[in-house]
Amino acid sequence: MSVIKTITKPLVSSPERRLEADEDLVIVRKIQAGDVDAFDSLILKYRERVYSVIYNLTSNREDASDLTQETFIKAFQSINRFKGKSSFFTWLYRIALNTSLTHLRKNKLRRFFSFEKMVEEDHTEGFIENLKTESDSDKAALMTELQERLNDAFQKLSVKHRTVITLFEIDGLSHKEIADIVGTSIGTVRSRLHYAKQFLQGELKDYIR
Amino acid sequence: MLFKKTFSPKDDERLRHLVQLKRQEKPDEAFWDKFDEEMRSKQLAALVRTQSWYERVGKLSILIARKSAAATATASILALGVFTVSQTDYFTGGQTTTSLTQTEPMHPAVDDASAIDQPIFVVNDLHPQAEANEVDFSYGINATPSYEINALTKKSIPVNYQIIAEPKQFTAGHINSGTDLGAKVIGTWSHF
Repeated sequence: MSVIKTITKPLVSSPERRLEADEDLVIVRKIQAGDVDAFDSLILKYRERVYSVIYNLTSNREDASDLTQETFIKAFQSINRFKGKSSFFTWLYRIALNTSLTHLRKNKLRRFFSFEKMVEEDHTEGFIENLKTESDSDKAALMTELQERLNDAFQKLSVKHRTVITLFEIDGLSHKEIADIVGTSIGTVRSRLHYAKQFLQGELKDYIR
Repeated sequence: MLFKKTFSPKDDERLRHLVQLKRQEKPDEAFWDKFDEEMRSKQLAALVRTQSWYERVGKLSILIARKSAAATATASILALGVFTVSQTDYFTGGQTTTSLTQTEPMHPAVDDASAIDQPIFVVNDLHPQAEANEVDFSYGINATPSYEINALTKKSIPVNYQIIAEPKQFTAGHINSGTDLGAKVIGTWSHF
């Protein structure tokens, strides 16, 4: 199986995304009108993506769970202040990022990691098969080692570089969307992304060549 | 950290796929069940919290206090001072409330045995108001009126009292030895 394949459909900025934003706005208006139960649908829709972003920033599944909940509670409490100038998704991501950054700042001296188990899917198999050509290690051990090296390399990145590469490569956002969320220019996003990739190339060179 | 300044498109592609492996670090269903449960309770707490009447009253009080901070503070301190004084035992014995500014001595009920050994206060206005048609230069225009409160007891227990209630300051100290229960105005401005 070829390693070079599309892993997951990227969430690019598109007419679908705009439609999604419009749908979110309808739900937000309902909540603002007093239908608080409607917020559940937004939680259900975004919880995994918000969790994923926070998890990849913190590399701690317990912290990520708490911070994801905190993000939704903050969004819920301030939903009446959401005016629809940006999409709900962008607004929610900003809350998630700020919540995570505050947490990371507060706990930078006592950080520890706890990782999610890597769920094996078709493309994972492909990657492992590819790695096996260079090593005869047991598949599970190889995966664990790869995951550790990957997360280790991620945590060596600065928060701003980790944020950009997480949003771009893992969450599949566009440069423009990342710039909106992070509050910077598209050029800065590209620059940070380039640096982050170069850094990871160096850290993960054994797995890349 | 040393690394290549440039990398080939193939390397870039392989790195992308490697990084995207992190998409597979997903929590299981049990995690989401627990998450939903915790989320519901936090959401409910947030809902109750945002709708609590005491929070609204609190916010309203802060708003009012900000608008009239000086007046509120003065009124609160005065009320506290009056309350503190009125709660003491010295004003018991048929005289539950007494004006602190009165210059006439107070006489406890003679038949009240419990009041016999209780000290009584004698309030002496140290700065009597000037007559309407004259100017009193004994203290400044904005000076705080002062009152002396003397505690009188039959046993002449040497106790001192100091009651501060802005903007009026009440001071008590001297025990007039051998004084009977009959209130007697003692002390003058020169005593301070």
